[in-house]
Amino acid sequence: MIVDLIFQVEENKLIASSTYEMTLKTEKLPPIKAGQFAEVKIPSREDLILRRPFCVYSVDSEKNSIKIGYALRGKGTKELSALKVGDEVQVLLPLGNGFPAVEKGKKILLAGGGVGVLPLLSVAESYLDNEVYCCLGFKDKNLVMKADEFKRLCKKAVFATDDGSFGEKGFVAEVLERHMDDIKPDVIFACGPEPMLKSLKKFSAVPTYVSLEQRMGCGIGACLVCACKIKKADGEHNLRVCKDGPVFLFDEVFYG
Amino acid sequence: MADLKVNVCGVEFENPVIAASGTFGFGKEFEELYDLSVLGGISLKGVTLERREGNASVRIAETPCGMLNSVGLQNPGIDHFMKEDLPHIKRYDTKLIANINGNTAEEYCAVAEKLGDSVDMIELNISCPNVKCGGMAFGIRPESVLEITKKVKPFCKSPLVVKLSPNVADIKENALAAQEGGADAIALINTVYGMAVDARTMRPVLANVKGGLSGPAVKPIALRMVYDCYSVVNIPIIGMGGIMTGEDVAEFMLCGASAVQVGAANISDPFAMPRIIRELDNYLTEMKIDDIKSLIGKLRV
Repeated sequence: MIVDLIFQVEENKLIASSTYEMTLKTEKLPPIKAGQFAEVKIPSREDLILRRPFCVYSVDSEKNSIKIGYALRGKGTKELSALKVGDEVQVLLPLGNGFPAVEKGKKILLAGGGVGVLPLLSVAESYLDNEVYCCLGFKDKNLVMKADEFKRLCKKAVFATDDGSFGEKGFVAEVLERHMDDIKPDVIFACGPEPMLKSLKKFSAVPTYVSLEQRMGCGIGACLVCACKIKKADGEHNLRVCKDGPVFLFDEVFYG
Repeated sequence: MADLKVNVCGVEFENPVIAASGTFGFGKEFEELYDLSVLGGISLKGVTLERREGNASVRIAETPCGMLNSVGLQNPGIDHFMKEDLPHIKRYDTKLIANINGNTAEEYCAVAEKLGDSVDMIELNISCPNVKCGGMAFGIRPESVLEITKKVKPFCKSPLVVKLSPNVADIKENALAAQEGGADAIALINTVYGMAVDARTMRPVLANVKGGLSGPAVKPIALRMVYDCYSVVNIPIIGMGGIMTGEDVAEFMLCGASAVQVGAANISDPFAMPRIIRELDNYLTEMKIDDIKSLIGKLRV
C-alpha cells in the first residue's frame, strides 16, 4: 500500500564526503521490503516540482523510522542537507519491488559501489540468518560509508578503493575476483554506477540482480519517464525502473 | 457542497477535473491510491495503431516550476489497449477519453475506428512534440489541423476533442481550424517545446535533446491561450497547463474552459487530483457559488 506521509527529521548527518544520512520518523510506518525506495518532496521549494527518489536502506518498524542516504548532487539534495531535527518532509512510500526473497541457507554476496552500497545494507539487515558477504568499492577513503555496519552484518566484508586508501586497491570486480573462491555465493545483489555493474559480468553464472537508478517522475509507474531497456524472451522492452524494478536480473539489463 | 457537474459537448462530467493524457497511464497505477470514481474523467495514455517503445532515457528533466518530458508515446498499441487496458479501467464510474496518435492520417483514422463507441470521448493528439512523424507535425499549421480533423471525424463514434499545440503562430486560427474540421471540443495546451542543458557535462539533459515543458511554468501561457480561443470558438474548451490547485481550475474556467485536465501535478504528487477537487469545492463554497458552470468565461476584464 503506497502512502504519502509526513515525517519528522530525527537526524541529518554526513556519513562520507558530500554524502548524508537522514533518519526520518512518522506516526505509522507501512511495511517496507529490502531494496524498496521512497520519493521525497523537497520542502518549501514550490519551484522544484519533482520528488527525489532514495532507497530506504534501514527500517525500524517499532520506532516507525527509516533511513535514507543521499549524495549532494543538485538543488534538491542541497535543500535536504540543510534540514534540521524536527523539520517536516513529505514522503511517498514504499515504491518498487525491492530485491527478490532469498531462501534460508543460501549465501548472498552484495557488490556495491559508492552511494549504491546503501540499498545493499537493507539486504544485510533483512537476512541475519543467512551468510552474507560484501565487496564494496569507493573512489577513496573519504567516500567510504557504512563500513562498520557492513562489517557487523556480514560474515566477510571486503572493501576496495581506486587508490588503495581504504581496503584493497582496485575496482570492485578486480578485488572480488580474489575472494570469489572463498565466498561461492548462491546469489549476487548489486548496486552502483553502471560501469561497476557491467564489470560483474564475469560472475554472472551466479544469479545476479542489479538495482538500477534512473531520472524519475511519478515513482508509481504511470508517467513512463524512468525507462530501462530490458531483454525478455520476446525481445527488448522499455520497462519502468520505478514500478517494474528498480531491481532487475543482470542478464536482462546487460546483454549484447 | 456546490454543484460541480459540467457538460462538455454532450458528455456529462461529475466534476470538471480530468487526468491529462500521459500522466495517468491507463489508470491502473492510481487505483491502489484512491477511488478513481472521484475523478471527473481520465484522458488515458496516448495510443497508436502499433505498439511503441518510446524514446531512450533520460526522458525527464526538472526545470524551474516545471518539467520536460520526452517519453515518445510508449504504448502497447490499440489492440492490447482494447483487450486489456480499457476493460480494466471501465469498472470505475468516471468518464474515459482515449488519446489517439499516429504517423499518418490513415493511422489516426484506423485507431478511431477500432475504438468504436467504447470510450466517452476521443482526443486527437496532434500536438505531441516527442515523436519523429505525426504528432505535432499535424498540429502546427491551421490547414493541417483542418485536414486531419476532417479526415478523422467520420471514424469517431464518440465526441471528438482536438488537442492543440501551443507551439504555433496564432492559437486562435488552429482552434478555428479544428472547429471547422468538425471537432466537438478543443483541449489545450499540450506541452511547450523546450530543452534543458547541463553546463557541467556540456550535454542536453534529455537523451532526445528536446522535449515538452509542462507544470506551473506554462500556466500563464495556457491561460492566455484558453482565453484567446474562448473569444473565437463556439465549441467547448478543455483547459490545461500547470494546474496544481483548486483555484487553478477556477482560473482556467474563468478564462473560458468548460473542464480542465491535470497533468504534471500527478507526477509531482500522485494524490493531487482528489485534493484539487476538494479545494475546488472549498473555493466555490467560500465564493458562495452554487453552480460551477457559472464560472465559465466569466473573467471580469
